[in-house]
Amino acid sequence: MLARRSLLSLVAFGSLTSGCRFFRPIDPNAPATRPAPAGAPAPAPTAAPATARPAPAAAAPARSPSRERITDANVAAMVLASNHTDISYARLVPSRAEREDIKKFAERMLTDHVGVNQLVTNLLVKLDVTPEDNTASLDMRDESANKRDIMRELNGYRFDSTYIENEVSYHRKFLTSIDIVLLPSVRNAELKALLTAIRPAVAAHLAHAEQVRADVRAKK
Amino acid sequence: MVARIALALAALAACTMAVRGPATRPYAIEIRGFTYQPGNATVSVGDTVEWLNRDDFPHTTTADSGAWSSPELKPGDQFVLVPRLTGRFPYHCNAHPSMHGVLVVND
Repeated sequence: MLARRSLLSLVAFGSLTSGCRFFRPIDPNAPATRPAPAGAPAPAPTAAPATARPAPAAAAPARSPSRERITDANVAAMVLASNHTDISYARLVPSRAEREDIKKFAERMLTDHVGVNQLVTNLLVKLDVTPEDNTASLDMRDESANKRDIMRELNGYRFDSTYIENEVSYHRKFLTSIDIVLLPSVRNAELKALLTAIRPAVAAHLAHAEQVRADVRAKK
Repeated sequence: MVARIALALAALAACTMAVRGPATRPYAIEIRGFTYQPGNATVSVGDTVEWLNRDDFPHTTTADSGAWSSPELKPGDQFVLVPRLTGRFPYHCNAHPSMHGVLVVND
């Protein structure tokens, strides 16, 4: 009887002390640490990490796009990269397209996107801002190079349908980028105003591309 | 002599008034942000309608019916139309087909 009681006391005491280790009150001011597993030695306290300085954007950024802080110089690079992308696609058209509406569409893209580039470049000169590539603008360049390689191998109807599908996709992405990334990130008022002025152009291009795509699909 | 000159001048003025008719009201439609502003315009026969391209991109004003078609208007350019017929005239931009406007011409 006495042995059973002693044993029970020992078990209760053991539970109490182990419970105390697991359910130690959390100091709200201490850095958050994961609780040590039972039986493992308590982790040695680590020094607080030094504040990391952001890597210069000119050296290829290693962080994911969602964590990069986007500067006005990055915004400029992204807009210019977007415009150069569509210009490069449009330049493939004259020697490969079969349909007149595709050729006319591409001429319009060339005129308007070259125009946008000029507006952006003129403003950057005025603001003394040098575009700085970031992950997004570099990814855009890589992706567009791959797409150009694909389209270079096509002609006739296959080129026309691939080109216009790509134009719808490209303009949708550009519009989304303007709304979700560029406009919320930009700080300079004039650059913001220019982006706001560019947006309807991209929306109009998207509408035009969708119309041409419908005709191409219907083989009108 | 003076009376004859005065009479001649009065006759000339009368002829000029008759030729010119009632003064026409200029009506401005701005092209801005890939839209025509106002999108719906109502004018009278003989009014002067001016499309002014205040956008950063080239546009046209082209009647869907073919009643008029401007050349490509660069930023800052304008196109003037004096409508002579009544009716409802939808129009668009040849360069950007999603842009639409309507011109209503009354007596």
